[in-house]
Amino acid sequence: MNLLKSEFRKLVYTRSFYGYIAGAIFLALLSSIPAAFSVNALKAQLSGSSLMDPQMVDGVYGKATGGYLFALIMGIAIMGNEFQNGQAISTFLATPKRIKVLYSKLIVAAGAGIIMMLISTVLGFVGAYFGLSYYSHAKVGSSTFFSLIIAAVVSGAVLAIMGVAIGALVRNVKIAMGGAVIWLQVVEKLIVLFWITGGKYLPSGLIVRNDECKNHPEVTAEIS
Amino acid sequence: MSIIEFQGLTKEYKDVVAVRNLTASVEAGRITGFLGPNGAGKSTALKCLLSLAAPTSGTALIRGAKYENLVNPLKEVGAVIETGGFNPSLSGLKNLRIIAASAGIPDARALEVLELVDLTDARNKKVKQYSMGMKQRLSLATAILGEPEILVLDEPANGLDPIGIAWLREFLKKLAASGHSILISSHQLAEMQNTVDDVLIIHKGRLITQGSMSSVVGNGSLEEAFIRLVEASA
Repeated sequence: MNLLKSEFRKLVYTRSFYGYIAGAIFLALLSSIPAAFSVNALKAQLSGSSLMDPQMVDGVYGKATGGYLFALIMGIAIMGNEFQNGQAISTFLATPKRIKVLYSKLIVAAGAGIIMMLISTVLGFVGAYFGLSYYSHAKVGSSTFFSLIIAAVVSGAVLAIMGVAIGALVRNVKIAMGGAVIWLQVVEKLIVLFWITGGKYLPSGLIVRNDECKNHPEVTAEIS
Repeated sequence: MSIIEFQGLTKEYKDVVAVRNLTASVEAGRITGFLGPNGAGKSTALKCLLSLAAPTSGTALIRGAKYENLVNPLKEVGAVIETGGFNPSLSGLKNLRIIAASAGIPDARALEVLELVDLTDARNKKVKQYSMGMKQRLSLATAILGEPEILVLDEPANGLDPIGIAWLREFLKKLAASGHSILISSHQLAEMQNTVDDVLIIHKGRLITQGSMSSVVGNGSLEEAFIRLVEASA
């Protein structure tokens, strides 16, 4: 418990932690608010589907989980900063059994990732709701809130843990973070572009709940 | 009674042997100077002692146990290893609270030790704004955070100005007077002569000599004895 408390303090004392949460919220809103407008603009290509279609609306709300990138970045920072600052020395002097340190970091990262994704996803829902509310014909309710919350919780934990692992392997925080951003925002999108069903095997596929992908792959590609 | 023991300690890094079959001991309740030229293996030996590096062979024990097996290391051994170990974006107080939490030490103790090292006024200042001397003091504050009986200090006077060195001398004397056992490595031989009770000298990873200050130095100075012993062992 002492070590968990210490790792928790390392996180909440650092201003960047709040920056990561703000970033996740920003990305969630950036993904969710325009999603309704994108679907409406593309309705001609959607074989008759529109914002009255529950699957389309679910897809719009699904964009609320768009802040996941910051769970990964935070995980990298939790581990990487330890080595970058030389803080690892005082950590290992207090807790020489390194595996305990690693477990504590994983637990704290997972918890923080969950909190981050819960906050950003709920605010993303609000953003999606306002986007949908712009259209009087849109169906603003969704049956997927619960499953999206579960997806956000799981992905927040898993991606933060993955971040800790990346931070342990790549000691340079900037390179690790840059690599993670390029992978999630460029490489994965290129992979999905050429192999659309392969998205579910990629880290971001963990969260981006592309139910609509089965029926409207072209829309998913456009609004993401 | 020996409180710290190196028993045939060897540490190799690829082709370099940093510490070679080091066998030595540190007596309880005394200040022991751990001396040697640059690259002699002092820091490596201390890192092995503190479980920050794994020995290639041999052991380094504190009260008969490896550091990593101590129940609450910070409450038994205080250490200063390199001037770092702090998050530069956080204040000295927050850094100490993080370390205190990991050992179950109350937060109030962080303020106490900051006062002991004369950093109370700078407690809320970010560590990156600290001078070298202030960082050394903060490192010392960390070392005494858990009120340990044993202190292992690697070059604590590095980067200190004359006032800082004088402060450190008094600080160590106070700790020694209150019964602490201190193992301190340093290059500042004149300073060491005034501070330590026993001397342990290594060169190229090997022990050259160990004993009380008077037995090692004789009638001359520590610097003279040090140069003579190091040259003789080369």
